Amino acid sequence: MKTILEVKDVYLYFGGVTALNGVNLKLKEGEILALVGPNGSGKTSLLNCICGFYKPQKGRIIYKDRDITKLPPHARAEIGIGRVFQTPYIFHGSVIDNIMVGYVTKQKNPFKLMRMKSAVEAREMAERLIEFVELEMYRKSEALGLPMGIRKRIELARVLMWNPDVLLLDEPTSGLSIDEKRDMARYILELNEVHEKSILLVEHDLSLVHDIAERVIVMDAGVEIAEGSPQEVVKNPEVIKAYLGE
Amino acid sequence: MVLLEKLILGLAAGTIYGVMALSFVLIYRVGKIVNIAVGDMVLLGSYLIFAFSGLRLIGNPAMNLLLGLVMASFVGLIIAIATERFLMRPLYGQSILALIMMTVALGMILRGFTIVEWGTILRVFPGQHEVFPPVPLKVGVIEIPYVYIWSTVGSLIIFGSFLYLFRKTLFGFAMRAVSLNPEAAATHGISIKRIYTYTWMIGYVAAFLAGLVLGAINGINVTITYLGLARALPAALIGGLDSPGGAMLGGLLLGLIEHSIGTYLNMFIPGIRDIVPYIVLLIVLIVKPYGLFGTERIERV
Repeated sequence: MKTILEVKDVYLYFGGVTALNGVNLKLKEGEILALVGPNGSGKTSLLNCICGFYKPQKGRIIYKDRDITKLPPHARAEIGIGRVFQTPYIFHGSVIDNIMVGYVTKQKNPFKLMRMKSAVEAREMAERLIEFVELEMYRKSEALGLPMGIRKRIELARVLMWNPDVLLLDEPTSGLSIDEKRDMARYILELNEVHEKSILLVEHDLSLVHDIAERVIVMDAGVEIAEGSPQEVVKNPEVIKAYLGE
Repeated sequence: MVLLEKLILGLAAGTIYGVMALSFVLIYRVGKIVNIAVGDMVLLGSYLIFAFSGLRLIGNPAMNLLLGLVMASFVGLIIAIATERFLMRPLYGQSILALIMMTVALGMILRGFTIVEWGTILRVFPGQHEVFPPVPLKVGVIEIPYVYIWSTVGSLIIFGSFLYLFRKTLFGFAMRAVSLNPEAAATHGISIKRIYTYTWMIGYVAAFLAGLVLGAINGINVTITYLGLARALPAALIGGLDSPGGAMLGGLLLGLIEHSIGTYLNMFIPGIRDIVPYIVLLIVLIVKPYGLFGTERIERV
């Protein structure tokens, strides 16, 4: 399989704290790659570097053979990278308003964004995605007051509005009930298998990782300590040490 | 009947304050910038309209004034781009105080330019008396100056257009998304620099419309700056700094109180009319610190 996203020797510092210490990663087309590791190991920082939220001091991010290290975050979304946050980013407005705003990524012309025609097109797309994430009954509800599980689905649907090829999912099941976790896992699998999205997944739930990820990278203190299949990495002594201590 | 007339005048004046407050609120809500230059933007607008309508490109005075507004607005769009790109953008990520100080500097630049270019003599728009006849419209015993009628119509059109834009279009959704969390909005494909620029553009156009109205009512000179800020700021604070609808309601409330209670008290205590808006502001802020429609912030401790 061809590499769609590559992180090359990335270093990220916050003052004297090293968040990422020379991280390398390759995401192949159509795979689900899980990033796991203890809290503070640099998983979310790495996602932030990939989507442009953070600027690494050293290293490069390559997407579809193009160096995107210096691209601003919105431009990375435009070329096909979709980021879903651990705490969903929702603004004042209904569920469908919150999803429709993802259309802005596809349309830069402000005058076209002011036209009703664009809103109608965006609404049709949003309606299809509402069905995908099974939020029909919440369509017109004020999004900010909804439970975490619903807000996570709203954000996922918004990101899918611009049909990204790569999805960066930051703990998509944290704070969810068992049923909600199962639903989210189903969406992720469908996005991967049916819609051919390449997915980089940060997740603490190792049983979920075991069920859906093809490959796992384990990080600790800003470096990669293990890589392999879910079955392989859980047996790795370095991984056991990172999670359980000496 | 006198009271009714004052209330109508108050509502008309309130729509103008509301539009100025809208300019202020929009820039605050989207960019988190307390724009002290709002009065100077209004001043620049009235002078630019004065200058362009002075060219008399159209014979009809009303159309000529309207063309002046359109041409001034185009210049306003260019100034908005320059304001965002060269004054504000370098300061994003800095303290709020730095941004406020930059708007103070912007105000001084705009005001200084108008004084250098047009001086401080009181001026009127070319053909103003033909467009807004000095004899008021009489409805029974109520007299309403024409300038108030047109200003109300203009203000409501711009406010209605803005509300439609903000609440119904994708452009408005993007503005709302950026106002909540610019970095996250950028990650979701919205160019925050573009949205900030468009926000300044709308802010300038709204201020320029207010410049036309205030210039027509009070004449054009530097005092418009103070009048603009002195009404936009309390209207915005009363309505709630981050609420566009609140800005208009704050403006209406201010206009009503100023023209009714303020005018009445002014007979006994001359000059108190100008203080009344601030007394109302104090009361509102004591009872509702975030304004009547502002978002209450709850922070975790």
